[in-house]
Amino acid sequence: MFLDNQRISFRQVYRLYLFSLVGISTLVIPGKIAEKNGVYGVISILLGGALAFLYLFYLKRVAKNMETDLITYLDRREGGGNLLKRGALFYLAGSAVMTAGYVAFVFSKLVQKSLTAEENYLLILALIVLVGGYAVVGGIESRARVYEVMFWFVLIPMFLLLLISLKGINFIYFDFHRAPDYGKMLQDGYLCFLPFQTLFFALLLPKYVKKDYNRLFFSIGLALFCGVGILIAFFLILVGTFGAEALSKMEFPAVTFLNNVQFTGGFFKRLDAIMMGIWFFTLFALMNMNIHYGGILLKESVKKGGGKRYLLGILAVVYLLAAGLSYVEPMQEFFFNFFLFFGVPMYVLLPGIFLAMGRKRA
Amino acid sequence: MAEYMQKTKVSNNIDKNIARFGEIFSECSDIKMQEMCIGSHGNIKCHLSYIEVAISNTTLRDTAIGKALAFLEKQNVVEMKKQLDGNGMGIADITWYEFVEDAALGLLTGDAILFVDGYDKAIKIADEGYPGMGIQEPDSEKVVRGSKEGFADSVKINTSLLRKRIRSTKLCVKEKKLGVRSHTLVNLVYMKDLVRRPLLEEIERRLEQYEIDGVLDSGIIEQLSEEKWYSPFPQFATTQRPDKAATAILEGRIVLFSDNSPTALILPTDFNSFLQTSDDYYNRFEIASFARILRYIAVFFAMTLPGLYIAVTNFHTQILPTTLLLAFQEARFGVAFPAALEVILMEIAFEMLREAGVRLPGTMGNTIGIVGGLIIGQAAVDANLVSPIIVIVVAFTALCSFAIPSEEFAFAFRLLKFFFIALCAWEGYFGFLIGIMMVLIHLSKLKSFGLNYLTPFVGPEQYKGDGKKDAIVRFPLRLLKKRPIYAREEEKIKLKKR
Repeated sequence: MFLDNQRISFRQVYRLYLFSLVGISTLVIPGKIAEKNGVYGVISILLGGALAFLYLFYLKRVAKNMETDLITYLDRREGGGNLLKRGALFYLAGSAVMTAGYVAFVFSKLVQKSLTAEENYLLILALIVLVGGYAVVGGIESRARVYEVMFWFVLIPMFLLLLISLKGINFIYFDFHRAPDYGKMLQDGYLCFLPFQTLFFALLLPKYVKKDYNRLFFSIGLALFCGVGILIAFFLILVGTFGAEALSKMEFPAVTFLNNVQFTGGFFKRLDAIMMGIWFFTLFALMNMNIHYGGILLKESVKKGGGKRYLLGILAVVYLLAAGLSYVEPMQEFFFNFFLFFGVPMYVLLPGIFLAMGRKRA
Repeated sequence: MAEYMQKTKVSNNIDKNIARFGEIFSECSDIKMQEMCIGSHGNIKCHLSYIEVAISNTTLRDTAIGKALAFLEKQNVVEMKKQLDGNGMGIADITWYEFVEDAALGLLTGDAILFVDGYDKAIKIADEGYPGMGIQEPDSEKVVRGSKEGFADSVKINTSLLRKRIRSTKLCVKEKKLGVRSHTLVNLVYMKDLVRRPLLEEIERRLEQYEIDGVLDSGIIEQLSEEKWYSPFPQFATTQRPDKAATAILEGRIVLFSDNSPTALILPTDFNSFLQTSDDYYNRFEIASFARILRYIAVFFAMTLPGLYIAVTNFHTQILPTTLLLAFQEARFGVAFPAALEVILMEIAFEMLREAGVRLPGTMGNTIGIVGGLIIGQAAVDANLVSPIIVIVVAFTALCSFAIPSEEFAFAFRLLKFFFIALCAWEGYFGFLIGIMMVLIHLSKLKSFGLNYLTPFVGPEQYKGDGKKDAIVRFPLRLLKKRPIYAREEEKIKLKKR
């Protein structure tokens, strides 16, 4: 009758990725990179962006060599029972679930801090995770449709916000005379690359799109380009509004910033509650992406039927992780260090290893 | 559930047929059976049966049946058989039955059945048929410009109203009977060269998948054929307007009529088509586009306004200007109930008023609206039961829901409104966002016969038609050159310059 093939268009890929890349980066990164280098943090973002583009280019090469998605490729080359393959997939699933847990934690904290201060954190978290589960049940097609519709509803307010906030910038805060710390700049560049680790899932996407790797990776690249652009814009506005020192002490500077933005001649006094929708939808996209792929990878690594029971299990783990991150503070540091020193390097290394393994077998 | 497992062949001996017929209609006093003797010598026994009212005694002489009987009166036995076999009476609508039970079912369509002694077939002769409402202007779907005709109760009248608008040999009408006891006539109307064949096969499959006692309205077919029965959103569009149905057919969609129902089902459908009206295409594009934008805004507020009011006044007062906030507080001064309860009470009261208005006869329905809206509302405010702001919020929400052209579609938002009230009363703006997300996710999963409900706003298929040009904004007609997604791929062009 009509197309119903669990496939998505390249435009949907672009929109899904843009949502996933923008949320956490604009919330977490600006505060972390402003401390030492102030406005020169822009160079770190550019560095992180360049790394991300290199990574994407590398993923494109891998995908082209695999000629299919990662899971199908491994099935063809390794068969279902290879322990190494299963272990690697299980690790990737775990990593995706950990990311989802971390995003759920940031998401719930953000909601609690800015929208419902009196509400119980665990309840907020439960709502977020449950709705996330509901979204994932519909598959990638359903998620893609949601973000295709939401795209302009989120991006137009975001651009308006950026535009309006330009008038509040104090150029004194752009301290170009400050001597940059190049070592820290490089470190921050790597830090800026962290939120872009979800690019890895591009290797799972060929199954869901037309077989045209150039267009697929162009769509993701465009999303990355826009994502980096938005991050730079946010960072400069935040530095210009608060100054590097104050910025580095804020938990969610973008939210603090929203409290101060006002439309000239506007009706509303404060926009923070309304604009929170931007981060709501972007964080939701990132969390769902990780839950979705976590589920797929887990299913493949275990190779047993079980349908939606996997999803229930993953949702439970995401919930527990996010709860733990809130109540057991050392866990936050552990997560951060894990992704910094192990998670992201593995995301970079594994595609190459998988490809090499496959070639050796062939 | 079949009514008659064994069938009796029509016999040459009329007495046997009469006995069987009498047995079938043993306790049906509305079925009239008349024996008579006809033929040139008055020696041929005949038996005419019909439903009282459906075949009128007074008009018998002037109708096809009367004329047929008069014709047969002059024939001898041999001639009569020949004439009956060859329809020598010249009746346009005549059917022969070989089994008595089939003839009985034929009689129940509202026509007369004639048995003739020595003739081994029963003959159905059409007459006035069952009484019906006839063509009237539909109560809902009012338009300022365009035809005022509405569908009637009879499926035959309805298909002819479409035929009147689309005088093409490619307009097909497929007939089916549903309901093992009601034997309701169902017609599928479509353009042979535009319809997607798999779509037609799918609706036929779905019509066959249930065995049901009776189909008394198209609503029963709608509910039994839906993919997601639990969704509040309708997965069929409905209309009582022939011009709207004709437009749908020309877009490549299928229109389904059920006998005794003036409501036609249109399939497949999507979110956007519920917000289109017939006169959108009869008016200039600026006016039509403005009306469309208003309807989209209406959809949003019909669902969310009471919830948003609660979220803002209970949780996020900081976003309101101080003067407005003070005005809200002042208006609520002395009101005993919390804002959420106030909204819920007023919304329920309003829904009850609406329900009462619909059920009450004609002018009383209007009166209850005025009494409820003005007098009770004012009294509730004076008694400090609700604040005037709430009355404004509830009234505006109601206005928005009335601005949605499709009633069943508006119903979905009226229900969701309570869902949003609950979420916003619980979690404020966070609840609102959660609600929006859930509704969007639900809509993104919803399909009508395989078509995305959010078409033309999502999916790769939207590029293939002019769907987006006829969505929130209706482009000028001269730019709407392609048919929407519903039509076959190879039949996309609907407008071109000579």
